[in-house]
Amino acid sequence: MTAVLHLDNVTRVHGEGATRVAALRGVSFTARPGELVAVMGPSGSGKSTLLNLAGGLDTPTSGSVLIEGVDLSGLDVAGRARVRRTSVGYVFQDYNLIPALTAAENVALPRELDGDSRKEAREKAMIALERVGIAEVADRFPDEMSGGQQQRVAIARSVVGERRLILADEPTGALDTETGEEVLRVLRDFCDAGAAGVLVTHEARHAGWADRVVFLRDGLVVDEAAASGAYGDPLEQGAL
Amino acid sequence: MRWGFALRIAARDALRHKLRSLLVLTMIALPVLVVSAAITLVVTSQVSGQERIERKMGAAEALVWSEYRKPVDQAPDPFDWERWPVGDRLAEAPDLTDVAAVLGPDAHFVERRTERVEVRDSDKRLISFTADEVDLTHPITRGLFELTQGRLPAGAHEVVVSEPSVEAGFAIGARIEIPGVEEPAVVVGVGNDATTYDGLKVFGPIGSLIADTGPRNTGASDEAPQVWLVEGVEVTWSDVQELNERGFFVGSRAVIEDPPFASAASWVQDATGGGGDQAETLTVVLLVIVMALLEVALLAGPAFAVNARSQARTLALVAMAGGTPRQARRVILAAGLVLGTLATALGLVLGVATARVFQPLVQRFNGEWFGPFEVPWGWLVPVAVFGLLSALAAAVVPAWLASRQDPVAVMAGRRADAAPDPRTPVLGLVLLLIGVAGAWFGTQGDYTSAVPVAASAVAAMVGMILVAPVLVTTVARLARPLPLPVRYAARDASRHRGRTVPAVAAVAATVAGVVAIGIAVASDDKEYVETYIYAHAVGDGQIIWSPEEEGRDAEAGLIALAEVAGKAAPEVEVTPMLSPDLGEAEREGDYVYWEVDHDVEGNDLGPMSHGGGGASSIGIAPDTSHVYLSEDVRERADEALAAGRAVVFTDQVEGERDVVLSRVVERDYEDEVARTPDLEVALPALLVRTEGVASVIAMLPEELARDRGLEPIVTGVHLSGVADEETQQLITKALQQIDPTAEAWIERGPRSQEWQTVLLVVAVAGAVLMLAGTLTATFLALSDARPDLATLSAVGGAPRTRRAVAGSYALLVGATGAVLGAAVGFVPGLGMASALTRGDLYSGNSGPYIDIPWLLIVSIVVLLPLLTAAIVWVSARSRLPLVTRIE
Ligand SMILES: Nc1ncnc2c1ncn2[C@@H]1O[C@H](COP(=O)(O)OP(=O)(O)OP(=O)(O)O)[C@@H](O)[C@H]1O
Ligand SMILES: [Mg+2]
Repeated sequence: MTAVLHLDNVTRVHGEGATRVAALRGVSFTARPGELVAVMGPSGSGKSTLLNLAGGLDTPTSGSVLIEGVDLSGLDVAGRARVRRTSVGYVFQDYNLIPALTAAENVALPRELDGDSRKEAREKAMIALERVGIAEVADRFPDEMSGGQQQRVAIARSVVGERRLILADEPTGALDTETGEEVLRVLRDFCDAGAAGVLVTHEARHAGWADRVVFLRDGLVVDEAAASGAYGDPLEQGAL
Repeated sequence: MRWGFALRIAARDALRHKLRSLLVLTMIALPVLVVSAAITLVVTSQVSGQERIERKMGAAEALVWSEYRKPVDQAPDPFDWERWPVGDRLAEAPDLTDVAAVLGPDAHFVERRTERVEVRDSDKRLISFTADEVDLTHPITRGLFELTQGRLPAGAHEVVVSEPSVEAGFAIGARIEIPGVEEPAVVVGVGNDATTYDGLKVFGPIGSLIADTGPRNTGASDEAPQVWLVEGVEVTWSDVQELNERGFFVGSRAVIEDPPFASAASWVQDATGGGGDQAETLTVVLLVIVMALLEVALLAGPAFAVNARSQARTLALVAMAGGTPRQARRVILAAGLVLGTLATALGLVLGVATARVFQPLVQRFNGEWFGPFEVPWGWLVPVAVFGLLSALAAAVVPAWLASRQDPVAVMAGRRADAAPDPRTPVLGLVLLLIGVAGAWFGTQGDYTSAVPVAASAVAAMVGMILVAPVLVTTVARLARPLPLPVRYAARDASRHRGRTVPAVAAVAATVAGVVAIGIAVASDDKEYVETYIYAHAVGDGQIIWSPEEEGRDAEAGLIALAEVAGKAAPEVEVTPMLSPDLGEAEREGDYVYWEVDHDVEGNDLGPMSHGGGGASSIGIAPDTSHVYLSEDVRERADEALAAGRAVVFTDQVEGERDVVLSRVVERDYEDEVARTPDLEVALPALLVRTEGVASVIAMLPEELARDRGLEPIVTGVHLSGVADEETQQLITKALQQIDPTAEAWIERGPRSQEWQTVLLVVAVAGAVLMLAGTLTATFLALSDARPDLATLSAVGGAPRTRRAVAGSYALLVGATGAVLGAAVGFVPGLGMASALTRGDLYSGNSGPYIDIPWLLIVSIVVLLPLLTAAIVWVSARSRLPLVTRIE
C-alpha cells in the first residue's frame, strides 16, 4: 500500500549563524493507511517541526515531503493549502476551534474553504460529528463545550471530507487522563477505518494506542519500534 | 470559499466584542453623519429651478421684464443675475406692445411692479420694504403668496404683508402712508412670501404702493422694472431670444424646465469663460473631503488592526484547515465590510434625521425660504460609498498583514510581527517627495489647480504611513539608554508594529489635519489683515446718518449732531468737515457729483481709482490730519495745501500740474440721461499716489476754494480718539436722541479676533480628536499587549512599572504621530493657504499670504502627547484589568 505520508531525508534548519538550530537532521518517516504512528522525544527534539513539515505549514531546508504521492515542494502556498483542505487534518493541544463558529461550522470549515456550499459542508460535518459521538453539541459554540468535546470536534474537523492523514500534536495535553483516553480512542477508530495518523506525545502510555513508535532526539530518529501490545488495553502496556 | 463564511465570522466577532465594534462604528458613522446632514441641509436650502418657477411666477407661463434700455442676453434661467445687457441703447423704450408682437394674440398679460419703498413711522424711524404690486386674486399669481391670517386685498388700497413686517409695525389694520401715493394702504392680511423668509414685503394691487413716476422702462438705473406675468402661450427659447433683442429678460417655465443646452452650468461656463474662483473653492472642498476620508480610514485603522491581531489564532486555524492567504484576508476585510456597511447606513439615516431636526434652526439664519425637505440620494449614495470604502481601506492593511502571518508561530504563541520590507520606507519617502512637489506644482501658475493639490495631500499621507514603521523602529533604537519602562514600551511598540503603526498614523492624520487647517486659516487671516483698507486711523471715525434733505439744508442738522457728540464725549475731538457746495441742482433730485480731470498736455492718464461720489468726495481743510494717509504722502500733501495748492489723490501719476474740477449734473429725461458739467474750475494741484482708498478724491485749502467760487459747507463730522466701544455707543445714543438714523462709525482696524476664534475651535476640535484617537489607539494596543504586561507583573513588575510602561507607550505613539503629522500637514496646509489667499480679480494680484501658526503646532506636538500619556498613566491601573479579554 502506498504511504499517505512520506518524509524522505528531511532536514530543517532554523536561524543562521550563532542562533542556528537544526530542528530535524536527515529524518525519513512514513505513515500508511490504517496506521497510527506515535512520535516521542524530549522537548525540543523536533516533534512539532516534523508535524508542521508534514502538513505543509513549514518547508524543509532539504529533503522532500510527499502526501499521497504528491511532493509538497512542487506546490505554492495556495497549493499546500489545498492539500490541507483535501488530505491533511490537524489537531493541537488546545484552542483548536474558532470561537466565533459553532461546533458544526468548525468541522465544516475545510469543506467550506474548499468551495462546498454551506449546506453540503454541514451535512458532511454532521457525519463526522456523529462518528466522534457528539452530534448533540453541533450547534454549540466552543466556549459552551468541555475540553474533551472540543478535542473531539477538532478530530472530526481533521477527518471531514474523507481526509486520510491526521496530524495530532499532543492532543491530550490539556485534558485529564480519562478524557484523554476517550479522545485517543476516537483517533484510533479513524485509523482503523483507513486513515493514517501521526500522534505526537510525551506520555509513554499514550503510545500504547499506536501501531508504531518513532523516537526523536536532537532532530534525529534514534529508535523505531512496534508498539508492544497493539491496541489492547493501554493501561496494561503502561510501563512502556 | 466565498465571502459567506468570512462575513459570518466577522458578524459574530463584531457581536462578541461589542465595545470595540461600537468604537469602530462611531468612528466611521460620525463623519458620514456630519457630511450627509450637511449635504441634505445644503440641498434642501437650495431652491431648484423647478421650485423657483413657482416662487417667481406663480402659475404663469413666463415672467417678462426690462431692466436696461438695451438688447440683452441671458441664461435659460435668468434669475440669480445670469443676465446682462449687450449692444447699444434702443431708440424706443421697451414696451408691452413689443412683447405682445412676439408672443402673438393668445398671450395675456398681468402687470406686476416691484420697488423698494421707504416710509417713516410715527417715531420718524425709517422702514424700508419691498413693494410688490400685483393682483393676488388673479389665478395666475397662485404660489406667490401664502395667506396665513386675514384676507387677500379686495379694494384698490388694501394690501397684505409678509410675517416679519408685522413686527415692523404693519399689523392687520395698520395704515401705511407712502410719499407720492395718494391714499394710505391698509393692511388686511398676513402671510408668507414665496421667496424670502425674513424680508419685509408688502403686496397690493397696482397703484396701491408705488408712486407713479411717469414713463417706465427708460433704462435709468434707479428705476424699478415693470414686470408682466404671461399666460395663454408657451414661451419658447426662440421667443426668449427675440424678446432679448427687444430689451426684455424672460423667465419662461418651458425653457427653465427643459433648457435648450445640455446643462445650464456648462452654458454659464462657456459664456463666462470658466471661473478660476470656482477652481479654488473646489481645491479646498476636495482637500477637506480627502482629509476627512483619510481621517476615517486612519481612525478606524487601529481598531481593525487590533481586531486582526485578536483573530490571529482564528486565521491560523483557517490556514491549518486549508485556507489560503486570500481567504484569511477576507475574514478581516469582511469585518470592514460588516462594520462599514452598518456604520455608513447608520450615519446616513442619522444624518438625514439630524438635517430634518436642524432644518428650522438653520432656516432662521437664511433669508430665502428653503425648498421642501429633500433627501439628495444622488449625493448621499456616493458619500455612503465613500464611507464604506474608507472603512474597507482601514481594514486593508491589517488584513494584508494578517494574511502574511506564520500560522505555526501563532499557534506556538510567538507574536512578533514580521520584519518590515526595506522597500516600504523608500516608497514612503518617494511618495512624501511627490506630495511636496505636487503641492508646489499645484499652486504655481495663475490659479490653483485642485487635482494636483488634493492628489499631493493623499500622496503625502500615504507616504507618511509607509514611513511610520521605520520611525517607530528608530525611536525604539534611540530609547535604548532610557529607563526600563520607556525602553520596554519602545521595544514593544517596535516589535508590534501591526498595532503601533495604525495608532501612530491615526494621531498623525489628525495632527496633519489640524496643522493644515491651522495654516489655511492663519494665512487667510493674514491676507485679511494685510489687505484691509482703512477708512480712518484706528479710533477715528465719522458720524453717519440719512438726512431727509441734502446739501446746505442738511448742514444745520449735522452741526447740531456734532455738538451733541462733543457733549456726550468731551475727550473726543469732533471736527465738522467742509466740502464745496453742490448747489441747487442737488436739491432738485438730480444726481450731482464732483469730478477731477487731470488729463493735461494730451496725456491720457486713465480713470482715477476713486473718482465719483457726492459732495464730500472733495475736502476743504488746511491740512490732511483728518484723512487716512500714509505718512510720506501726508507730509507732501500738507506742504502743498499750506502752499495754497489742491491735492489730488490718484493711483496713476505724481507731480504738480493743473487740474480741472468740474461739477457734473446727471438728469433723467424721458428717454435719455443727460450728463452735463455745469461748472468747471481750474486748480493748481499736486498729484500724489495713494495705496488703497483715500476717503476723498481731492482736497483744497479754504482760501483756494473761496477764490474759485466754491463755497465751503459742512458735509460731515470727523471723530478723533474714540478709544473704546463704550464711548462709541455713548455718542451713538446721544445722536439718536436727535435723529434715529444717526450713528457714530469708528474705524477699528481688521478684526482678526474672529478668525482667532475659528482657529481656537479648530485647535480644540483637533485636540479632542487627537486625544480620542491616541487614547483609543493606545488602549486598543494595551489590550493587545495585555499578555505581555501580565508576564511583566508575573515576574515581579509593580503596578507602578506597568503604569509607566502604558504611559510611555502612549507618549511614544502620541509624540511620534504628532511630529510626523505636523510635518506632513504642511503639504495640504500650504496648498490650501495659497489657494485661499491668492489674489483674485477684485483684490488684484497680491498674495499668496502664508502664515504658520507655530504656537498651535508646537503646543499640539509637545503638549498633547504629554496629556495623553498622563491620562493613560493615571487610568492604566484601574483600566487594564477591565480591558476586554483577547482570545
Ligand atoms: N521558528 C523557530 N525559530 C528558531 N528555532 C526554532 C523555531 N521553531 C523551532 N525551533 C527550534 O527547533 C527545535 C525543535 O523544536 P520543536 O518545536 O520541533 O520541538 P518539540 O519536539 O516539538 O518540543 P516540545 O516537546 O517542547 O513541543 C527546538 O530547539 C526549537 O528551539
Ligand atoms: Mg512541540
